[in-house]
Amino acid sequence: MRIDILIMVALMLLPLVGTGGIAVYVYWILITGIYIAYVAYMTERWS
Amino acid sequence: MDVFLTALSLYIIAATLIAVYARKGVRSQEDFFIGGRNIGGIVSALTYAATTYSAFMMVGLVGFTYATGIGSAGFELMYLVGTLFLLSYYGPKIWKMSRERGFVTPSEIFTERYGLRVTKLIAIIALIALIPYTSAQMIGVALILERNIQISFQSGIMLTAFLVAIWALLGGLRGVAWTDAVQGSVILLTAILAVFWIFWWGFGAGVTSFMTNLENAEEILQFPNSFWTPLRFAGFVVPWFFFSLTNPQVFQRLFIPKDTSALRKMILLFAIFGFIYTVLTTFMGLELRALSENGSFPQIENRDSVTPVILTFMPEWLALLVSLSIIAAAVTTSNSIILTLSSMASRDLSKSRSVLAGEAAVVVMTVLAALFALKRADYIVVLSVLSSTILLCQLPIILGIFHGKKGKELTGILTLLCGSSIAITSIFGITPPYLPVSIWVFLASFTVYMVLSRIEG
Repeated sequence: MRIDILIMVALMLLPLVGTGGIAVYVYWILITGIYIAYVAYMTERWS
Repeated sequence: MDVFLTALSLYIIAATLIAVYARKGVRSQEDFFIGGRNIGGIVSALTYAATTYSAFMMVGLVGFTYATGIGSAGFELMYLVGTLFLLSYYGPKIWKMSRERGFVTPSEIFTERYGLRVTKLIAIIALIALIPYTSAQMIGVALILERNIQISFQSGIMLTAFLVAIWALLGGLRGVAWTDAVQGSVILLTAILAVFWIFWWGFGAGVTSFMTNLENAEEILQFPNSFWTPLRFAGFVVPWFFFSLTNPQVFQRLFIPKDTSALRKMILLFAIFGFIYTVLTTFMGLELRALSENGSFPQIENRDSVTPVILTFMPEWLALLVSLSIIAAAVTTSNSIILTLSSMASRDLSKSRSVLAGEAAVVVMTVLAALFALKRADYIVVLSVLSSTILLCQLPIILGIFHGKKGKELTGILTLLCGSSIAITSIFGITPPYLPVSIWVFLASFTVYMVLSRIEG
């Protein structure tokens, strides 16, 4: 079982406890980008 | 008008030539519906993206972000994260199973475990959920054609239905995939051009000016806010998070890559496409909202009108490109859905294995979607919005295939009936209290599945 998705869901929902701002938008974009890079790294041995 | 008509004609001719070329080598339903399981990674990725991202992105999501703020980006990026996880975790398993057992339709994966009745029921639920969704896409295209080339709404629907069917009929999945690949690239490039043009037109080179104006619309930058309450956010996210497993038109795309390397390329390139496209469309919504705050762009009440209004401010060439990209997004999503539904109708419902039967099913499905679109009834839009919620009822039985051995035919049938009926009855205003309907479908389907699978064994 992979726990990366649980961590990602928690990170994506983290702004629910804050007050928002453009930083939340940038934060979501950044962590999604990092997750894409993580999946690319993790699936490297497929090919 | 003439320029639009010329561009539209060139687009149709180019895509038709591609589909004709793709026709070579279609000898079986496996070739027709899943490209002989021999599609390369880049084309697989672009067809996955063009199938997933409909006209909703450039019209719906731009307006949604304009009206409700950054929460729209959160919900759409949550979808992308969920899809990336599900594709990287279940994708290789589904791809391998489909090769070993010769699956062509998405619902064939259920036959061995849950029986033929469950397979047929899933095909019927997919028809109920996705025919109105396709009709809504056709209505969108017909409205653009009505405005740009002054043809009647009815003629617009006929032309759209023709476009949806012809590339699928000419080249099957390979035709759809190749035309999707070209159109997907155009859709992304157009979004990049539109975002940069709006920024240059509205703010010059001034990031400060953009931020100052945006901060005037305080609620837009807040999360949560009066629209994006935690419960509503969950209600939006849940059906979309599992979209890649519950929507047959994208599930079937997992059967097409030629090897694991192509499968990996499909997943990663799709993720990069989706990431860029989501950032662009949500940023466009924020740009337009900032412009409304400084008075350069009108305040718009109906959020679906935001993109059509900005088109009237754009130079003609860009407005034309954006309009064509919206048509392309709607057509690529529609013909992929029609092809998948046709595979389910001809193989799961009528047990026919000939290419001719597959082609006949494409015609029947397209005519059905066009007839619904011509009626233009309110319930079409309601059903199309609910499509992913209706399809969510399959989730427990899909996950059940990979996790555990309990649960057979009765479990499958009652899980599907319970979940889908909650979603469908909500159209008539019969909704369980307190929670969004998607959460109810999710909870009810899983509860029925867990209880019955333990009883049935």
